[in-house]
Amino acid sequence: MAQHLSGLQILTANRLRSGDVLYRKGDGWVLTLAEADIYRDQPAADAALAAAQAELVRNDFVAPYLFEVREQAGRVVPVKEREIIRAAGPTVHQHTGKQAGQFQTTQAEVDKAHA
Amino acid sequence: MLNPVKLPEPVQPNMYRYDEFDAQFVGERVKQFAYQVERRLSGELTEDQFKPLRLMNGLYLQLHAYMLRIAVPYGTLSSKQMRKLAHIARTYDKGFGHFTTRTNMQFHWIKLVDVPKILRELADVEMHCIQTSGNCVRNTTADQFAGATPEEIEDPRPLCEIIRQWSSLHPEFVFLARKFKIAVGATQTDRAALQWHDMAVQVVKNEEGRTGYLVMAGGGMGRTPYVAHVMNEFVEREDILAYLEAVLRVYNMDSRRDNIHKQRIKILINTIGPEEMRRRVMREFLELKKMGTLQLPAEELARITAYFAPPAFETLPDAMPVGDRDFENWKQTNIHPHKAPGYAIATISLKAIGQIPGDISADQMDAVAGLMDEFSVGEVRVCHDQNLVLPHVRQKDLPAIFARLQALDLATPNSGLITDIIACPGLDYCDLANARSIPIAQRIAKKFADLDRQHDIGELKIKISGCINACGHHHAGHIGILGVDKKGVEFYQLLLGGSGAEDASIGTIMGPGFGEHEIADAVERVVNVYLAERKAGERFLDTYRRIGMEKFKAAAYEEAVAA
Repeated sequence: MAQHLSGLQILTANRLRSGDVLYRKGDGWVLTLAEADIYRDQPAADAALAAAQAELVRNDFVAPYLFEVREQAGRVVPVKEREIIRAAGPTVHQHTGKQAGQFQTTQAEVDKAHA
Repeated sequence: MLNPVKLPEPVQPNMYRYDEFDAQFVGERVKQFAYQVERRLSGELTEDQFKPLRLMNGLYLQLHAYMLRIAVPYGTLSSKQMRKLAHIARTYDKGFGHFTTRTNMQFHWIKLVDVPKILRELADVEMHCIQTSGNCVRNTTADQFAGATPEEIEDPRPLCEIIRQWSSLHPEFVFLARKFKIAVGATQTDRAALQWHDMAVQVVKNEEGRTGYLVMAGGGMGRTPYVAHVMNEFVEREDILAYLEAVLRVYNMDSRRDNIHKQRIKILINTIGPEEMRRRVMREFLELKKMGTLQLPAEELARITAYFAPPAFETLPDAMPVGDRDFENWKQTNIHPHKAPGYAIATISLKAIGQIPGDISADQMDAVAGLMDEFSVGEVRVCHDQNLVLPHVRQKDLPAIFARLQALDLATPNSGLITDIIACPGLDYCDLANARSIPIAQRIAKKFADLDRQHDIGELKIKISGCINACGHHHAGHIGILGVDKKGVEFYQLLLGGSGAEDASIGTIMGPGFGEHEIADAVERVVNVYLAERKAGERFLDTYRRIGMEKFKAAAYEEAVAA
């Protein structure tokens, strides 16, 4: 997948137990896009993806992949609508999802699973 | 050997009730999937191994969380089941659920770790998620007016139930080339989109006045839409399972399995031709008939039919109440004739202007369950167009029902009108979607919110899908809208001239897509062409069929360019 992308990238996955959207930060995961690591070149992005794929055997997250972002007025914004919606929540129920501070899991649980 | 289980309390007097086998079967399946979840969480199963298992139990991983799809067989729900769905919405989701075009219920915020508990709770009220996904026979759908409309030859639900039992974990058909959808109807008016199904059965009478079944096959939406072909104009009652099995067997044996886009039965039939398909099916059917094992005994049909015995209707005069303008508007679109004098069928619109088609909150579910118990013998139907129906209400109760629905924001008088829009969950939730559907439905509904204008426009069915899989039935919309992705940006193609009714037809794509903020205006311009061109008594669809695409297209694009 990575070879088809260009520009800035972020690595994402879903938490196995809850389905929550995760973003790669360091060698762990965070729940919000704003906290995610941004990979500025392809080798860095590929390395992050390879590391995550090697960790799939731990069974705390599934389906890791890279997606493109751009920096806009000091914020990181996904290029594709799909990733904007994954990061925030449904546009039609704005009282739900991450945009409303709702998470399927807590950061402490994510950290514990990855420790 | 199966262990004995305690049978659940009967849910409803005029619905199918689980027998010991059903309860055992569902209970064992819940235990099996709970164990599979446990094995996945422990790492004993990989995601690749687990995915087909969870899909067989209606569990998808979508954009924000897991989505659980709960079967509502032939769209019939008891009040007890509706209350259970409300409980699940509150306890395990975010307080609401979504009724789909397959008449199922979807919850979009489910955690994998909660699924075994949810399945146990569902089994308590004779519900499950089996075969709501995967390459198997899916939930059979039916006319939402079944057992209530004066039009029908007989209630199609007993046959639906027989099909459910026959197709549930059928050893030959658990791993089909692709999913397989069946619908059943019993009236000339098609409210179940029969001709758009992999296989459909219509209850008919032959020239001798004997009741039997017309069988169609090869309909379907997706990237290659087809309307079904008639396979057999009259199948005798006792032969229906053998005939359906013959169709499925030919499909299972002869369908391609090398290309996911060419593996539905519609592709097989339209490749070999309907005549050759009929010949192959007849050959299998005669073999099955010779074996005699799939004959449907009259006693078994009678036994199943007894579950669906009509409620004890009171002897009442036909006396439709008269009320204020709001009530009269609601009556005009949302009330339909009932076979019993003094009774009516009431459609509950889940399409309040600006709301999400098919969505219902837990509080609304509980309140509807109350209405079901108080006014409609504890029963509700889910329609493929994402509304609900109270099938058996006394005409004299309609004002009270209307008032209660108004308080719940469920009394929108728009059944069959332009704001009664079908929309799939789209990119707001769905992992397969390319574009959002719901916001487009909301914008169009707001644009046409004026009720006088809606009545002036008359019957006009808008159907919106967020991708080519067509869960929003865009091919069958009088106006269909298909969301597409162009380099990460949403665009919407317009289709005109589709129909999901007895005059089924495939919509024609107008041309290049419109932007997210252009599509609702384009729809309005198309509707304006209809209003200018129509002749007396013509619906939008009739006018389109008479004058063709050109004027609609010119209006949609010329003004889009000018804007």
